[in-house]
Parts: sequence; C-alpha cells; structure tokens
Amino acid sequence: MYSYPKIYDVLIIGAGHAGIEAALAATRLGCQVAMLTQNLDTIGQMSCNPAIGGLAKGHIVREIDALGGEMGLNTDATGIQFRLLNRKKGPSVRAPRAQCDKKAYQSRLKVTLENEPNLDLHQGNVVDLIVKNDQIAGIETSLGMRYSARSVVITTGTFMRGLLHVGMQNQKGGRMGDAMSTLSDILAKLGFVIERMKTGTPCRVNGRTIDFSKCEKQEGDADIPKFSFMSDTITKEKDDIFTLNPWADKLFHMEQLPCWITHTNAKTHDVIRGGLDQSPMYSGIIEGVGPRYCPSIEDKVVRFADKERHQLFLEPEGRHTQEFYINGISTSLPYEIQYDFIRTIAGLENAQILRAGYAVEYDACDPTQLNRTLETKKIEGLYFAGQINGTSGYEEAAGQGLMAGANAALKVKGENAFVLGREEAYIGVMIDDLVTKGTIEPYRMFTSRAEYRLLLRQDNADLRLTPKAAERGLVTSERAERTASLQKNLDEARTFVAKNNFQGTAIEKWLRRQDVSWLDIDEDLRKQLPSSSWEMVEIDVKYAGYIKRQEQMISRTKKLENREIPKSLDYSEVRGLKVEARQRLEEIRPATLGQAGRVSGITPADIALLAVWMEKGQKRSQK
Amino acid sequence: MGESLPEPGVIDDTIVAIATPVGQGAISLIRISGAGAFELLAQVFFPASGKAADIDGRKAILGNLRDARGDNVDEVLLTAFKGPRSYTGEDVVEISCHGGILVTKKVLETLLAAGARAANPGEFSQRAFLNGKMDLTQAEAVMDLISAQTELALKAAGEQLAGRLGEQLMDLRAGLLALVAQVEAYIDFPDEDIDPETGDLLVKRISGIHQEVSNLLATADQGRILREGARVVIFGAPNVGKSSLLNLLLGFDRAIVSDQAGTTRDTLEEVINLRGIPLRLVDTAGVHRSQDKVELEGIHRTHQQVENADLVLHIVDASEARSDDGTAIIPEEGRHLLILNKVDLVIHSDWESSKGVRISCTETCGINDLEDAVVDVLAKDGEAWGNNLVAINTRHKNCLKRAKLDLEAAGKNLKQKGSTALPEITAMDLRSALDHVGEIVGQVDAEEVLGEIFSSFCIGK
Repeated sequence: MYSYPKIYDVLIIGAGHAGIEAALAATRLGCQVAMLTQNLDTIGQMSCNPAIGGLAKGHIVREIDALGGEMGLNTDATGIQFRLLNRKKGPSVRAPRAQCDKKAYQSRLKVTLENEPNLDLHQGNVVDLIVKNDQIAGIETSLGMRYSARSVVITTGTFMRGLLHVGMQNQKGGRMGDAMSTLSDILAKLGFVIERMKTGTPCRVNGRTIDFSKCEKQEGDADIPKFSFMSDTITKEKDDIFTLNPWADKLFHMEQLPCWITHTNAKTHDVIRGGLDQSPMYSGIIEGVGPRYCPSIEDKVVRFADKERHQLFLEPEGRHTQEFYINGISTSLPYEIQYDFIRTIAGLENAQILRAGYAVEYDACDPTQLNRTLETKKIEGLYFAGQINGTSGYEEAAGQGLMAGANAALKVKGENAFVLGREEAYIGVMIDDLVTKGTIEPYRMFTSRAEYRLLLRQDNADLRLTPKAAERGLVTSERAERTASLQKNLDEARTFVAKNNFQGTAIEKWLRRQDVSWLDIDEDLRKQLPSSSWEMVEIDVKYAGYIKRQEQMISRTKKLENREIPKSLDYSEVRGLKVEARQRLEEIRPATLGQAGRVSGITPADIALLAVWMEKGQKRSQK
Repeated sequence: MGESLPEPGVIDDTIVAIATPVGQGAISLIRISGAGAFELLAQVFFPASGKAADIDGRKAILGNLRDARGDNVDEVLLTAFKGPRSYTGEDVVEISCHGGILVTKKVLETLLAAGARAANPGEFSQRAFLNGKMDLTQAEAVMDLISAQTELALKAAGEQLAGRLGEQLMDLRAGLLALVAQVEAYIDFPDEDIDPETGDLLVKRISGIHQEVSNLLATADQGRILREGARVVIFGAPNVGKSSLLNLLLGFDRAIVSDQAGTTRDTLEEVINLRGIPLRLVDTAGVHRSQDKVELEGIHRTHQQVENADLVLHIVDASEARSDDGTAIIPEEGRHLLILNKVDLVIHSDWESSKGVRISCTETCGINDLEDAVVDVLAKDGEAWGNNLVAINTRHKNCLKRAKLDLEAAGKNLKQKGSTALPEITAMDLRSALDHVGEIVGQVDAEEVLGEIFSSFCIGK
C-alpha cells in the first residue's frame, strides 16, 4: 500500500457537475483539494441531454453563479443556443436555458480545473474509505493507493453499482462506455441506508441522416439571456481558456444553432407497444424507482394511451458534431425496437442511430442521513452531493456540490457552516427538502417547490446570494464589488421612481399597473436610469404587494427557523410526544424547530411539546 | 403557500380562544394574546365613551364590538393586560361579553376575521411557560395539557369530518388541487404542450370552486341552526300579539303580556323544539314611531334582530287596517312569514286576500298551520334536515372564509385590465386557498401537487 505524500483538506470523489463545484468552492476557500475520477477525459460530462437550465434549474444555475460557482460561466462560454423561458409570464418564473456544445462544455471544465493552483486531479477508482473514530481520514483506490484527507465529498452520480439496460440485455457500468463503482458496498458496511434508483436516456442519431424539412425549427432568442453575471470576463486572448463565445465588441455570442421539433405518431406507439414484453421496466427486471417527470417513451405510451402523439425535440450536441439528442424519447427497449420506432417518426425515417437509448439503475443514499451542510450524520467530515442523494439533473448536482465543498472546507478551517434557507435560495429549498423529507424518486427542482417563489428570482440571484457568499470568502472581490454597485443602482432607482412623476402620478404608482412597462415612459425620463435599473425596479414595483405578503410569511416562521434543537436532545424523554412522532424525529434529527415542523407526520402540537421541553432544559441548565 | 404550520408559542402572532366553558352562562370570557392584541382590538372595539379606543392595559373599558360591516356584535367589557405583566407574558385582552353560545361565537368570529388565529390546544399555557410566567415544575403540566387537549381536539375533528361533510370537503380539496396543478404545470413546463388554461376558462373554474366554498359556508349556518337553534324573530307593531305568540309557542307566560303598547322594551329569547328543529324564539319590542328613549333603543335592537334572523315571523293584527307604522323594514326574501293574528275577530278588508298564516293567539287556533309554514321555510334553506347532521365549526368556517377570499383575489387578478394576469400570482392565491382548506382536511405539500401534475399531464421533455 502506497500512501500519497500530501494530506488534503478536501478530497472529492467524482468529477461530474457536483464534484467540479465542490472542488472549486473548496479551493476558493483556500483549501488544498484533490479530485479523483475514474476517467479524466469525462470531467464535466453531460451524460444525458446537452442542455443547462430551464425552469427552476436555470434559477439554480443563476444561484451557483452568484455564489461564485463555475456552471453559469461555463454555459455562457460553450452554449450554442440560448432562450429565456416563460418570457410572457411573470419575472419570478422566467428562466434561462441553453443548449451547450457537449465536448466544449466538458473540455473547458477540465482545463479550468487543471489551472486551479490548489487543486490536484488524480485518475483512480475509489474502493474503500478510511474511517477512524467515526471520522473520515482518507480513501483507497483499486491500484492500492491511499490518499489522506481531512474531509471527503462523494459525488458518484449513477456510478455506484450502475447497471445499464437495453431490452433484456444489461451490463455493469456508470454510463454507457464507463465502468461502475463498488463504493456503495463500503457505504452499506458503514451503516448507510442504500436505495436503488433508475433513470434513462434516449438514443442519439446522426444529423446527416435527419430530414429537417419535416421538422419545426426552434430558434434561440435574439436577446440572449446570460447565466453569469461575469460573462463579460470570457475573452479569447492568447492565454485565455478555450471558449466558443468570447465577449468582444460588446457582442457576447456569435451564432446560435436551432433545435427541431417533431412528434411521435400512432405507428410509433404501435411499435412501442409491440416491444413492451421485452422492456426491462415492464418485465420487472428494473427495481429502481424512476422519475415521474421524465418517463420513458414506453411509459408515456402506456400511461397516457389516449394521447395521439408526443412532442420530441432534436437537440444538437455541439457546433461541429453531427450527433443529435432526441429529447422526449428516453427508452430501455431493445435496440431493434428502437430502430423500428425511430423510423416511424417524421424527419427520422432514415435516421441512423449512433448510440442506443438505455436505462441505468444505480445506488443512492437516503439523504435524510445528512445534515443541512450535506455532511453525513454518521461519519464526520464525509459529505455527499448529487445523484448519490437521490437527485437528478446537472444543476441540482452542481448546487449541492458547491454547498458540500464549501462546508467541507469551512469545517476544516474551523469556521461556521454555510446553510441557505428556503427563503434565500432554490438551493436552500432543495437541500432542506432532501435532508428533511428524503425522496422516493430522483428529485428534480420545480419552481412549485419553493414557497417563496416570488422572492427567489433568477434576476435577483446576485443580490440575494453574492453578499452572503462574499462574507464567507466564496467569491472574488470583483464580483462582490459589482454586486454592491448593482444593489446601489437598484436603491437609487427605487428613490428615483418614488420621487419623480409620469403622467401626473409618481412613477412608482404608475408602474404598478399591469398593462404598462417602463418602456412606455417618455424618453427624457427614461434616459435618467440605466435599463438594467429600470428592469429591476419595475419587477420590484409590480410585485410589491405580493412580495410583502411573502416577506410577512417569512417573518412569521423566522423564530422557529432560528430555534436550534440541541444535537443531544433525547426525544424519548419528551413528555407527551407520540411514538410515531418520536421515531420520525429520531431518524431525521432536525437542526431547528422550523425543520422539525416540515418532517412528515409532525404536527404543530409535537412542535409545541418540543418547544416547551427545550425551554425546560434551558431553564434547568441555568439553575 | 400560506402558513403551512400554526406555530404554537414560538412565533408571536395573536391567538384567541373562548376561556369560559361553552354554555349558557350569563357572561362569557374571550381571551386574546400576542404582540398584536391591542392593535387588533382597536379595529373592532368602540368605547362607549365615544372616544377612540385607547387600549393600554391600565383600565377596563366598556364599549361595543363591531364586525367588519360596522354592525354591533355585542356590548362588551374589555380588560387589557400589558405584557409581560399578563397571564401569557404577552399583551393580553380579556373580553367579557354576554353569555350564550351565539353571542360568544360571534365575538370570536369577529376577532378571527380581524386577523387573530384560533389558539391551539394548551397554547395560552404554553406561551405562559415559554415567556417565563410559570416555573419549571409547571412545564410537565403544560405538556400534559397540550397532549391531552390535542387528543380531544383530534377526536372531535375526526367525528366532525366523518360522513357527508367530510366528503364535500375532500371533494373541494381535490378540485382545488387539480386547479393548482393545472396552473403550476403551465408555469413549470413551458416546453410541454400543456394547454395554457388562462382567461375565461380559468376564471370559470375558480368561480366554480368559489361556489362550492360558499355552499359549504352555507351549510355552516345550517349546522349552527341544528346545534344552537334557528333564530326566529317575532316582529311587528306594538300590541299585535307578539308576546302572546311567543307564549303560545312556549306554552307558558314568559313575556309580559299587557294591553298597553310597548311593554316589551327589550328582546327575549327562548329555545323550543318544533318537530325536531330547535328554534331560538326571539320576542322583540314593537316597532312604531316613538320619542321615548328607552323604546327607541328597543326598536333599534329589534332591527338588528331582524337582520340576523334565520326566519322573521311578521305578525299583524288582522282586525285592523294595514298601516304604515314603521314595520315596513323589509326582512330578507324567503325568510319572512306573514302572520295574521286575531282572526277570531272580524278580518279587516285590507287582509282578506292575504296569503299570511291565519292564527288567533287568544283562541289558540291556526297553530298547526303556523308550524307547517315555519318548517317549510327553514327546510328550504338546505336540503332535507337529516342530510347535514354534522356541520363545520367556527375554526373550519374561518378557514373556509379565508379560502373564499383567496379565490376571490385570484379571480379578481385574472379579470384585471390588460389581462396580463401573471400565473405565479394566481398560483399564490390558489395555493393559499388550498392551504386553508388543507387546515381542515389535511395539508397539501408540494409533493402532492407534483403528483397531481404527473398523473394529469404527460410531462417528459
């Protein structure tokens, strides 16, 4: 056994979207970081669709950016189509979405990591965790290498006991073409509850063989929504990191590629139904629980039998590659069925399948075994992020990765934890949901999960989060200063609209009307504020009454959210607490009374009993 | 989303509860506690002195409690205690009102409508403990109280929500959930072909649910009638036989009957059981043109009684000509029975073609016809009497009222000029409505909304 000479502060297992943000967050906090991956060529790989963002997910990426993360910048640098979704709906439910050049995306991330001075990349397959006195101490690889670390973040994606299904055939692997990991065996041995999850991906076809004339074109937006507040720092000078979209001559993007829309039809559905007997889903071979929001095409055909057609999006996987991703047709049917049904679809009659669609089953850990910092309750210094926590999606993984990496680093440095509340960020909603309620299917973020949706907008992500991140040292001073000046502009704009009149009324009051916008204001008045300030202040004014309502809701729950439950609390001693309530609370061990109230099956009366009990303990200790 | 949890004792909202045993005592005590207690009272309490309410916790104040419409609910005595020198350690107001279930509940409802929250079991004691008003040895007693009262409340609620009413509430919840899912799906899945249910269609669905809530609230009144008796107000000019009718229905002399007009200067209430329906009979001062101060007050009260009545028995002297004597205030349509008294005497030509029920209190005739007529009118209120034997209580009613307001807000938002109603605002109002209904029949969490979306729509880009 060879021990690597360097002792790391934070060691990251996995180099996907969660691992990358974890590693970078820890380096930003000044830690010595190691990252281990089975294959350095698949760093930041988009294993499924070539897109970042969308509703709620786009919000998360904006938050990651505001917290100093890399995902937003990398998307801006390698995106090949940008759209702002829900443009016609209100500002809180608008979100950016981008198609990315898959190769460029992951290649740029690899280079970014390589250039990080405090980060060492290692290729290796982790086979064991070194734990001393319930405290993580390091890891061992299959080559007999031992790496010591003060904290470890596990971001294994779909790799733990990954099993890939195409029809009745299956093979071990974390992704088609890659090996699987046995790490979940070690976790089970350490006493973690392991769950089995499932997800799937569609087939990819060669664009040269698609008849686009039979498809409907979907263009990107002319007014490009950017993910990063810092995208103007993406330049293409001699020493800059590779990019598709340099910022030059005040132009961010050069040329966008379209996506294409087509549909399945009755014939497609007939072929699919004919193949159901060879479906690993329907024959019971797959045990893992799949996501309801991302059903396979066979699921759609069976569950929504009366639907005559299903919409499909043909998404380019890159600027130069001919590979197209068929969004909406994820499947684990046998290759020959895929071959047949693809050819029934308008535009795909002669499509050549490059890679077959498949389902992947993998091991995850029940996330209620984690604290709000994403540290495991069982083993100190051990953190989980991404699909290992039962989530799905690059953005969800990256958001957790950032928080896990930051908290691992803060803990090593002996600093307070960094936890975001449900009223502060989608990332806060997600982590609170996971550690409080767990999940039975791969968890995806939706805006409907956020009770304070009007406050958690993509447009105010920087204002919401950058000051907090700056306080913890997570962002550059340049970003912090920019945000401060953005805040100053908004404050000035607020004063301006309150003090100045338009059409005989204060602008503030006039803008409240739903049928007007700041663009309707006379030019000489309009010119006095930059358009970005107008946009911010208009949202402010139009939402004002509703925002106030949400803020009142927050202040009502604040006391409970701030009331920390002692870690040592013995629930069996709490008088009057029913057995079921006691068991749930013992399992979850919520950090605050607010979190306790969200544990399923816990009633207000249970919280009342806890509050009295905690007060009693406090009084006793004062004596 | 609304308040997903009432947070007992840990947050300082204002709570209210009836402190005296529910019954027919002479005086009921209603207690209200929280940082906003004084402010809340100032909205609804009007001192007898005529000055603005100055609730400062130094003296008891006499005055009137008025509801949102400005109608008097009751004359009450208010005793304020400034925190921390109070039972709970917070600002506390104790309101002494007239006893009797109805008055007490009206006072409670007025305070709930003004923004107070119905206290949870044991919550006053809990707050007292948390604010250091009780010593350590009392903590366990408080905890026992909370768990015992919670058990009782759960049991009572379970009994109440069994049966048809519970089903109606569950239907309402399901309808609202489907509506929320529709709007949320429209928001969260812009790339799926989900019909944007907006504009008229959505307004129609919302008003449909609004109607359901209104119907349920109506059964609340019906249930109240069953529990507390229908308020049947006997109304008419002086000396037409109001008190005699009351006595006739009661079977003994309760009201002072005399030939001198204006004998009943106040209102009298008695409960009888008429063919299984409890009636709360209210005799009133005769309405006529008077200068007498005491009589004027009596007449004023009569008008109030008529307004709050489930049924008005408008009695006239059929032997006299119809006169414009001040009885022409119009009782609510359909809840008004005209009774022609003294039909043993010669009926005046003015009344000959009247469809009024003919009785004679002195000869005790026509009573059966009267009873038929009363049952007819009251039974029209709802469906058959036996159908809704369990009805919603004050807390449920309060929740439904809030849900109703949310639905109205959602509807109003959608009908706004420019029709740029934002779906997330509609969703906020609808989810608040769903939360309020959820307080009665089980909270709806985000997961359930998602479940509804995925079972109704084929999502899967």
